[in-house]
Amino acid sequence: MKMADVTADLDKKKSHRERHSGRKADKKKSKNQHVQELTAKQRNPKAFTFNSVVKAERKTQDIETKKQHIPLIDRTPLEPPPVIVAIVGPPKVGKSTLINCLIKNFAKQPLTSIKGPVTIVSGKKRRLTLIECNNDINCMIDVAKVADLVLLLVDASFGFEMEIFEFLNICQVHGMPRIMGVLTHLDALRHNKALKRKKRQLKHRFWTEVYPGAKLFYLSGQIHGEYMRNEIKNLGRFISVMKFRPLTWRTSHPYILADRMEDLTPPDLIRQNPKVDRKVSLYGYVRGVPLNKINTVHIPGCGDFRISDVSMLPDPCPLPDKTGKRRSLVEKDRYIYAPFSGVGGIVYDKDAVYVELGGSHSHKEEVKEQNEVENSLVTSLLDTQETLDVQMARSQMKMFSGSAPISAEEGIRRREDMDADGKVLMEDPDVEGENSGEDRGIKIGEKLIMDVDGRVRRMVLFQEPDVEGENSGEDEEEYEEDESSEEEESNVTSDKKKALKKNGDDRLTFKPPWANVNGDDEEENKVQTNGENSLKTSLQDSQVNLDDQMARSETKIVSGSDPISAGKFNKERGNTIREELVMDVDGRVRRMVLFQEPDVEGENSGEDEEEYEEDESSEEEENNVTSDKKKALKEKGDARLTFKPPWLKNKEATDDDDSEDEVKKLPSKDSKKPSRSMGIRDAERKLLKEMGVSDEKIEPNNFDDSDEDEAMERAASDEGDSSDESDEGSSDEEVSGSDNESDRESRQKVGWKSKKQDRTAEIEKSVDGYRTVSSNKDKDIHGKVCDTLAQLEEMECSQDDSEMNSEVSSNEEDEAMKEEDEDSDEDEDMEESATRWKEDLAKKASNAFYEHQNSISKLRSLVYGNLSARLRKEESDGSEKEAEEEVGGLFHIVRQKQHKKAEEKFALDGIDTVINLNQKPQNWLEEGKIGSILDCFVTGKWGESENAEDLLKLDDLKESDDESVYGDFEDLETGEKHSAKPSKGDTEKELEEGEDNVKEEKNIKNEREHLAEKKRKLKEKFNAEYDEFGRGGGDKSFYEELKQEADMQSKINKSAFEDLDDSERVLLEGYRPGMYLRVEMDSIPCELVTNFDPTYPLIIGGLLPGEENVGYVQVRLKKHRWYKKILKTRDPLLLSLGWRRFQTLPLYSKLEDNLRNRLLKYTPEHVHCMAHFWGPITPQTTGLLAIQDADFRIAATGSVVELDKSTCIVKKLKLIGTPLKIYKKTAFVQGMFNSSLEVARFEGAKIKTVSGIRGQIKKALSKPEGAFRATFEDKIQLSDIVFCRTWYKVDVPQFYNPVTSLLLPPELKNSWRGMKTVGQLKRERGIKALPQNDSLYTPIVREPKVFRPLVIPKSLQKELPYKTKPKIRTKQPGIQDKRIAVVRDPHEQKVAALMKRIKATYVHKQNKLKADMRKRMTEHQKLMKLEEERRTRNEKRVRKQICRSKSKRSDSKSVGKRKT
Amino acid sequence: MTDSSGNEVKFEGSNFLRQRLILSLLSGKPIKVTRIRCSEDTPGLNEAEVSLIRLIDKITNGSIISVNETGTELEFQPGLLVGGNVSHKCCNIRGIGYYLEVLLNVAPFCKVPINATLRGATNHTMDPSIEIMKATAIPVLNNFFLFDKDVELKVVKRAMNPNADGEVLFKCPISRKIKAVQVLKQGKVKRIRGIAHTTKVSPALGHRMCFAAKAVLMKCIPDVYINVDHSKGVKTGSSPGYGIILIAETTEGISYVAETMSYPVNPDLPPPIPEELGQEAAFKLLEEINSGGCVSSCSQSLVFLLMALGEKDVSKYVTGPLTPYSIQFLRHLVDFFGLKFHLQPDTTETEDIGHEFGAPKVRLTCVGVGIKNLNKRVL
Repeated sequence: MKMADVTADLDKKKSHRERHSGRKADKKKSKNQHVQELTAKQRNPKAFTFNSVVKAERKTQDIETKKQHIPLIDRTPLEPPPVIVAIVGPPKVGKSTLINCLIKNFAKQPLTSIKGPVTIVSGKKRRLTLIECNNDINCMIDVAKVADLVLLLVDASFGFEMEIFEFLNICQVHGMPRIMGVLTHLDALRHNKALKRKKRQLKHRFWTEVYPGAKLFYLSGQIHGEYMRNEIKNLGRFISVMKFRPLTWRTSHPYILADRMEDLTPPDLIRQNPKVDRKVSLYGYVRGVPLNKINTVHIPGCGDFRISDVSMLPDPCPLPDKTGKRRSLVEKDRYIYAPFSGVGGIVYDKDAVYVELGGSHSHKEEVKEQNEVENSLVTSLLDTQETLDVQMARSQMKMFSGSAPISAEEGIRRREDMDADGKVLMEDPDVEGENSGEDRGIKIGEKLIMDVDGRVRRMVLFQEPDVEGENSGEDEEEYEEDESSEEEESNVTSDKKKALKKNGDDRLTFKPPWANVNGDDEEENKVQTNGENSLKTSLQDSQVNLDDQMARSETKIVSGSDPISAGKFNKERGNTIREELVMDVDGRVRRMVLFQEPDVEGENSGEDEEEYEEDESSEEEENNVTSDKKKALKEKGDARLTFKPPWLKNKEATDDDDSEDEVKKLPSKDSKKPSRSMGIRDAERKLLKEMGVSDEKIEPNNFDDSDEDEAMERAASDEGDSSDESDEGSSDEEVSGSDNESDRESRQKVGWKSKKQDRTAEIEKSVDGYRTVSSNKDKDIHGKVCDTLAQLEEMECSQDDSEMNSEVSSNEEDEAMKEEDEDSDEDEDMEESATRWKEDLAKKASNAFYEHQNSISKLRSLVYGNLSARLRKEESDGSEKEAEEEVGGLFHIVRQKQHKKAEEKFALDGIDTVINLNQKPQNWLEEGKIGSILDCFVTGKWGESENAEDLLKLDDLKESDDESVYGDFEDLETGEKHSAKPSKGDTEKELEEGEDNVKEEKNIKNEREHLAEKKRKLKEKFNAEYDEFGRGGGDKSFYEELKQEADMQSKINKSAFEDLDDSERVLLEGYRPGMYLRVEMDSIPCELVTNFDPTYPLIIGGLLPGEENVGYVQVRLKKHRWYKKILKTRDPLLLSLGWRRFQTLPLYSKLEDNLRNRLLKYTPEHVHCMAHFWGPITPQTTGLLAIQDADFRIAATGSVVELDKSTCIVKKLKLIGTPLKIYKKTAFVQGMFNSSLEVARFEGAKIKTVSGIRGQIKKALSKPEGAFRATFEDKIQLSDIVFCRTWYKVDVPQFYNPVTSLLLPPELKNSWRGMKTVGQLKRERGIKALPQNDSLYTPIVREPKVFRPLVIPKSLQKELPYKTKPKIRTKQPGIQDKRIAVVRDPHEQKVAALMKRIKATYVHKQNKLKADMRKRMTEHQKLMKLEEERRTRNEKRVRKQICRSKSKRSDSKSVGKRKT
Repeated sequence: MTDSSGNEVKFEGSNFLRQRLILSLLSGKPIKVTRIRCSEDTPGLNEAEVSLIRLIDKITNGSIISVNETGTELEFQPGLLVGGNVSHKCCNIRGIGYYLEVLLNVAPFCKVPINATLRGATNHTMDPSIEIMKATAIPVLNNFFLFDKDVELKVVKRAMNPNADGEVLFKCPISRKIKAVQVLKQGKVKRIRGIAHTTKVSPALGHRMCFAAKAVLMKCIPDVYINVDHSKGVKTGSSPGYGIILIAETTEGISYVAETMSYPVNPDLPPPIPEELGQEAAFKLLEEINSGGCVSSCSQSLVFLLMALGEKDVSKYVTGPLTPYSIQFLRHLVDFFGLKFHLQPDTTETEDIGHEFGAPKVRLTCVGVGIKNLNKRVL
């Protein structure tokens, strides 16, 4: 509503008030009394009963089958990831309040500022990730793609806004999540009746949109800025019991909603080039299906990337232990995790620990100034001023966030306008247009309503009859609106001073979003007061301050855990850790804790200027620590306990164990080794990298402190010894434990592995030792030593590894290939005679082949062992020598070499065949050989459960039992009593054997019992199966079978890898849903980091193989009914498909009956059409959404039909020619083609004339180039136009432009601009289309048609009869031609006049006479008629009399006669 | 969109080219193979490989193939599988089985059901013959897909080298997705069937092979029936040759196969003795039975492929000892799909003590990568 209208409203007269009670009201009520409408079925129930039993049965079956869904395999993991609950709604509807309330409800701890996803534990079995969705369409789409449950907030006082319907449509396309409506602002409706009506109205509309019966929640109002507690509690309860149906896209793709992000790029690189591609790690729970590391991922709004590294992290928000019996959550299990909002306390990463400071912006300054040390504080202060301004601008923007295309400057300008003039100007042209152009006979309409605070709301108007009726009724419905408009009025009329004041207030009260910690202000003040001081000192000051603050502020990491004093924490770690201030992507300052030796650090500080401040501070800390060393040490014991997040407890517990224990344990866990060691090595590398920020190699020899050095060395040697010992021990164990010599090689490998593992274990321990502050000093030192040793050991290890691997792989390759040589280091072979050696060749080869496939580790290394070796190819070269040495002896070396060559050759250029060409079969006719496979045949022995003989025996037993111990049948089943009764059921067999051996008897009996038990089980199984599916004819229904299959599969899915370790499991099935991952990615555009806004969802969507490619996509598409325009072919369009959002140029087509795609220029109005575009390959039936900037932003919806590398869209093309010469039915046509070659291409093609005569192209003519001979079904005219209908292939432009909305700066996030449409460009530049001359309208001038005279041939004339024969008359000059004008003289004139008069009177007289006569005649006729009537009457009477008398007479006669 | 270079998988050497091509086609990842026979007298791709690449080109749309001048480097960017009617003259260096194996692997993922006519050597010493593929691969396909008996594989004309001009007809329906299967029981061999085929030689040779094979096999099971197939006229090629194919069926419907055949006519060498061929075939079959598992060794890789491509569910399969070819295939699956199999020695069969089931079996478990047929059109 415009403001001008509002002022106009003021002048209106008081309107009529309708009576609600009293006489008049009663009268009116009685007049139109409501009569209940009955449906036809209610009125006449008999007409709707069923007549046929068959039909009734069919109907019930129909209903039954309608209920059935295709059984989906349940792939939800045992511990599912948190449910994503998206809170969606138009601006100012109460989304943030609701999130706050929900968090408070679940976590009992309110959050001050919420940015990005918040994960909370909502129950014993469920966690929730709450995420707020703003009204950027990109954001809405992304949220709809990942949300499991959508809370759709509706301002009940206002009604549905466009955003809600847009979101619903987005949801429908991308797989409908569960949707729950929440009505807010219900307290704005004061009248109870109006409230009720509103609720009903909204509910019905909601039902039609979602599904009938969809849950709609009512939040009645706010108290102290919060919703009612019990209502929120109810809502929470609803959320935490909701069930979800698997959605196709999500059960086939892995995805992660990132809830944390770290920039891992070396700061040095950023300093050199701020635009350098970043290395970023993202964190989040895996959802959907297991994530595979090798697959490409797509980040909507950013692009496609490859994952460089994935690692599992302990769950930051774990579900409570299942051991407790309590049904409700314990207070300490109520975790909350929201790193973007600064909740989560201390965050453990694989290479660092982050301590959350809650984001004080003073740090931000520091970090900034670290780069430019020379800058004075004044400039820094100026800087802050500037940023504040920017922030201000942004804050003002946020006021207008409802209106999409307003830029920041514009917003400010508008505000200024408002201030200056005291009235609101509507600048947005399309807003005005909408107002005027609403309701164009379309079912819905949009109404832009300006709110009190300048917010533009997009109201949806439905022209449903009932709504209309209500609208057209009295003002009761528009009560709220009136009120609001009144408010508006007052606002407008109020003087500008007030407005200005308000604005000023806004400015004053503005707080940067990150300024949420109370310590900030202090900090800033201090910095300001120290203005004159040099930067260094000020920074130092601030550092100290910070430390003090840290010490003072007791951060509560996790609710329920003891508060930790930060000071304590720092002091404890003083000498082992170093902190680094890291500015987060969202401007939050985090203190990263790095583990490092003090001396190394010292070196760093000596060399590196950039880290000067930090080093100093750490030094300070150190000093601090040294002074309070004893105290700190004392504190350590309990400090460790407090500073320990719950998920680390287990780890620590294991760490506390002795190292020897570890060593003993580890060799048994063979399988875990490679991945674990890799992970640790990685971690080590990372750590080293972090330590060497100054780009220098840390050499263990470079230690400054001699004492330390010595200690280290000592420790190192100790360490080495111990590790060696343990190695030996383990390998010895291995050797003694085994007896088969042929396995030595593999054992050796195991030995190696165990060695390696020991080392890795040591490393791991050392790292762990760092993480958890060890309780005594010795241990600390020990840990340090270990860490430095780690590098050395690791290098060694990797070398060993590669050696080992290459060796193993080569050997395994041998066997796999079945080359004839045995293991090279076997001495026995040498001793054996050559003949024997040859004899057993084949057998040995095959035996070796089989043997190496009979244990898990061997199998695995056989298949995948080569893999790791391949990765470290460069290292293997160096290790070759050693391998040779190990073998010793010249012969061996040569063989090895030759062998290696052969192997390599095989691997490279062997014969590619499935048949094993080298394998020669054994001679199976040899004695005893065939016996080894006899049981593979049906004639061989069978297993217990399936052996027919056994089963038969069982039956015999049963019978004999039945005969002998019929009464004791129960005994057999229970089994226990049976043993008490000796030899009751002896069979003949046993008798034969003799009673002497009691033991044997017992054995047999046991066996029998065993068999009986087995049989019983079998029978039970059979019965169960039969009973379950036996009803209704004995076979399972198809549906039931499918269902059962799906159930079975899901059971298998859950149980298949249950017993494996996580690290191993991950390799086999990927990172399964529910795991908390850290995903590292290289070459991320720097804008993602610099322009990061946590309120925009950051999704890592996994792509399946093949989906990373582009091709032509064919979709079935329908323009949305509410989108007012139609879409034009080849106009750029934003699409959302799969994970991606992109711009492309679609071509629309109609799929004709012969499957030809005919090009359409525009989309049809209400039917589907096909669209073809160049885009990402996405599986068929995936939903598609088209977006355009308009009042209703969803332009079209559809689904993928086909994918290909080429398309075939055609448009009609008519080739036109003219006849050159016409014979009877043959004609020469020219002008259709340019050359005879072209004609040749079209020989036999059908042609047609405009008049409809059909024909065919025959052959090209030689003379006029391009002319041809054609035949027609009839003779054509020379004036005819001949045309040939052909189809012309249209190419789809290869344009695919991913939307990179996440890379835009926060204030421009929703203004991504891609390619513009031609229309847009023309409008912008004022270009008007020049019409073609022949399509202009010109006045049509038609000349009258002149027909030529009709000529009849003479011969024809002759034949004609005379009558029709044209008469040839030479025209005689008649009187007419010679008529002369007569001029009368006066006399003659008089005479003529007299004559005329006489004639006139005569005529008049005659007429009069005639009329008189006619009159007379009629009168006479009348008279005559009367006379006639009288006469006939008389005649009748007379005749009657006569007849009467006659009859009388005759009567008397007859009477007389009778009498006589 | 990622450019193809980042996605490319690199290999060296000519070996296992087929596996690489198959996996490239199915995963959409381009491959680059270098050092193809670079140190040999005849460097580069051989004729059979070129012929195979041509065949792949025929059944795909949008493939980009580039080979360097010497033929030692091949770059292959896969297009989409189209299928349809294909007629191909195969190079005689390899048998039709060589080409057919590729078709069998990719046929269910085409846009249009494939209907291929392949001309070349139906029986070849280096490749499994058509009957063998029919007996082993097609039941595997039927097991993983829902289609039943729609796969058609027919020898129209049997021919052997040197001038092999045989003909094979192959039809395969298409499917949208693969289901996960659990095949853990191999059953027991219930019967043995076979074909002793002869072309352009005396039919008596067939009988001789047959008797020799029977002599061995009858020691294990009485139900042995070997058909003597003497093809002549239009049903045979122009080169002489003979061979025997043996198929053992188990109670669970699994077939183990073995074959031997004569080598191409060579004036320097005497023709092989039919009895020896028969006996060798029987030995090979016993070897195969000894290996056991739920699939014959020559179709192991097909099973692994279908397990890998299935939906994101757990598949299980028990096989005999892994062959070098299938081991390499498992490695390639890691390269292309990042998929590792869980390998365990299968212990269920050997639980019954005292039973002789031959070689130890391997149980493979994996979670499919969830590939769907991206080529099929849905209406």
